[in-house]
Amino acid sequence: MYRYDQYDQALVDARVDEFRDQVKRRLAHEITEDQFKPLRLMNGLYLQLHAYMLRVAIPYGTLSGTQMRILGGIARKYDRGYGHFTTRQNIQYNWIKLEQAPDLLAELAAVEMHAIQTSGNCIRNISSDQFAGSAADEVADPRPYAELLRQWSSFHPEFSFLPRKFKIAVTASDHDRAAVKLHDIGLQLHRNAAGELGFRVFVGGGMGRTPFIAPVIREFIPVSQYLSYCEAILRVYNRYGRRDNIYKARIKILVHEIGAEEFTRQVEAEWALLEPLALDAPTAEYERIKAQFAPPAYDAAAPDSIDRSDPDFAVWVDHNVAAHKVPGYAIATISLKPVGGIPGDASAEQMELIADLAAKYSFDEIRVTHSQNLVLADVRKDQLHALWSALAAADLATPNLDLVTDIIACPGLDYCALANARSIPVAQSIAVRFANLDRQHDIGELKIKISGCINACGHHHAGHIGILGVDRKGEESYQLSLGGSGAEDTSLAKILGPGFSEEGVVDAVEKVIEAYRALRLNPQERFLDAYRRVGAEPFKEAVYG
Amino acid sequence: MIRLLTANDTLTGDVIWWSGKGWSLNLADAVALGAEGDALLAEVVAAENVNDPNIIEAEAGSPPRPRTMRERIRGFGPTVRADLARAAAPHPDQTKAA
Repeated sequence: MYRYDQYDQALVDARVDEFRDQVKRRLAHEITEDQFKPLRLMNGLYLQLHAYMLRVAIPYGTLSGTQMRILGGIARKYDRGYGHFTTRQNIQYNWIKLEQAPDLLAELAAVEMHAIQTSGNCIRNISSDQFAGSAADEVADPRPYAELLRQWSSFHPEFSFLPRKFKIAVTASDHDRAAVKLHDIGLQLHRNAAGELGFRVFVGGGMGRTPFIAPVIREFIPVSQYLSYCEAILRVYNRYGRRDNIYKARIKILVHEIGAEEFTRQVEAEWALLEPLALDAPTAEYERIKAQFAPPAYDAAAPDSIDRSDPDFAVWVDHNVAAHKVPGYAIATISLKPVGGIPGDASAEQMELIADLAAKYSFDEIRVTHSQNLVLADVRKDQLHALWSALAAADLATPNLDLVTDIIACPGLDYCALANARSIPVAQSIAVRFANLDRQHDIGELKIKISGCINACGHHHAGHIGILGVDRKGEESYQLSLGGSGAEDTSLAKILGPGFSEEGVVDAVEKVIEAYRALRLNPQERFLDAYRRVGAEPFKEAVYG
Repeated sequence: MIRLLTANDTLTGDVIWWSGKGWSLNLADAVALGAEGDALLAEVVAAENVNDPNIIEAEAGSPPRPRTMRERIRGFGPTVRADLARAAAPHPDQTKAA
């Protein structure tokens, strides 16, 4: 994985020193909260319901065992013994004290991590496919390109005060594990007819208050020119994005209002001006970065089979293990969704254990998924059972990937100052209702996503079943939506009907699922496919009568 | 309904309640504001010693029960982590799963 050079380290260290001084001045009342707030937000420090919350960037969801160990230590030392992995592949700490934040950031900087640009109207953490570099179905490793984007976007002087926040996702597979069409810019690496590598460019996707699926504005931009093309996109957005209305300030609104064709024309015109300036990274710089993502020392003699004689292990393999591009290896997903647990939460001890297991079984590297799970991407097949045994002992081997209990949930009103309703208890209640593994496996792939407010951090628009918590005259109420997807078949879920109470929405979800089981063509027909085939009516009938 | 003055501590971010003499971490110490409430809030806002000061409504009691779920969560802690509850009393909105 990428290691900081002297410039990366100097930038991050300097930011820690700067923030330490800013905190000192705030605590001495030399600057007001109004003056300080934008400064702390630039360093990922929010004030939430109970305390300060720190959001730490995990570039393209990749971190080393050493970094994970430090994250666990920070949870114990500065927080209350746990952290929360987010839908943007980051980690958040919920109980941070302002006076300790500079020391915390210094500990992060010592392992090449930071919280810069995890808030504010700037280019946020670059997200990517959690299987990148190991996926059997990718055309190339997208991480060097994601890293170049990280470097390009970090402290970019022109794009530090955009009309609104800006999110970029990169993938390299036809099977979209990064929800690229639901980002401000989605980049899909692919080959053109001549076999050259380039990006398909999606712009203007997003969830939130006004969800849109991003249109393609360019089918192919060579990898040697994608940075300048992104620069052109950002310039057009920076020039014409709505700064007068926060609810209309995202690039998706601009693309929608002027149309994808006109937006594309403007980007191409801007790029025509930029392209001769040679803003793209020199080949040597790309090669320097790419070299740091060289494949690890895979053992060519690793046996390409898995002993499935342990039935519980075999179930986990069936659900949480994916194909690897190298024979003898597999990709293992660690579920952070134990039944009744809090989606995405991991204790300090669990983080430290995963760090140890990464060192022992997966070349000391870990990935965070946007579904709030963790991944060991390079595990020998003959070591999967040992890994599973260690995970199971720490309640980390729930075999539920992409099943009904593998629920995405934002922190919701239990933590978040923006939320209108709680998300986590709803996720817990649904998971408990469907705890029986046989029932989960019978239902098959079913992605439930829960947001506690219209900002959609829980991706409810992209849920096969989406749940949005709202405030109805001071009471929590939950809207049910069906038919969303964040995968390559991206679609936006549609509201089914009137909302429910906390208990009522769990019953409604069960009615929807039982209706699906009754009408599916066969057990192989996924919920999403059945919904698309029959439409909403049978589900409305099941829920509302 | 009574009215309570609340804020977050600048140093720690903790939820704090106006006790009549100063700020307390315990909701049970919160005092009902009288006619002086709005002036007190204006004074606290102007002083900028705490973050996000605000007046909320609550049912009288010991501790008072804030009217909205948001303020009850601020007062008692997350409903999903009984171990992180602020008050000795059970969270009024604690979920079974927690």
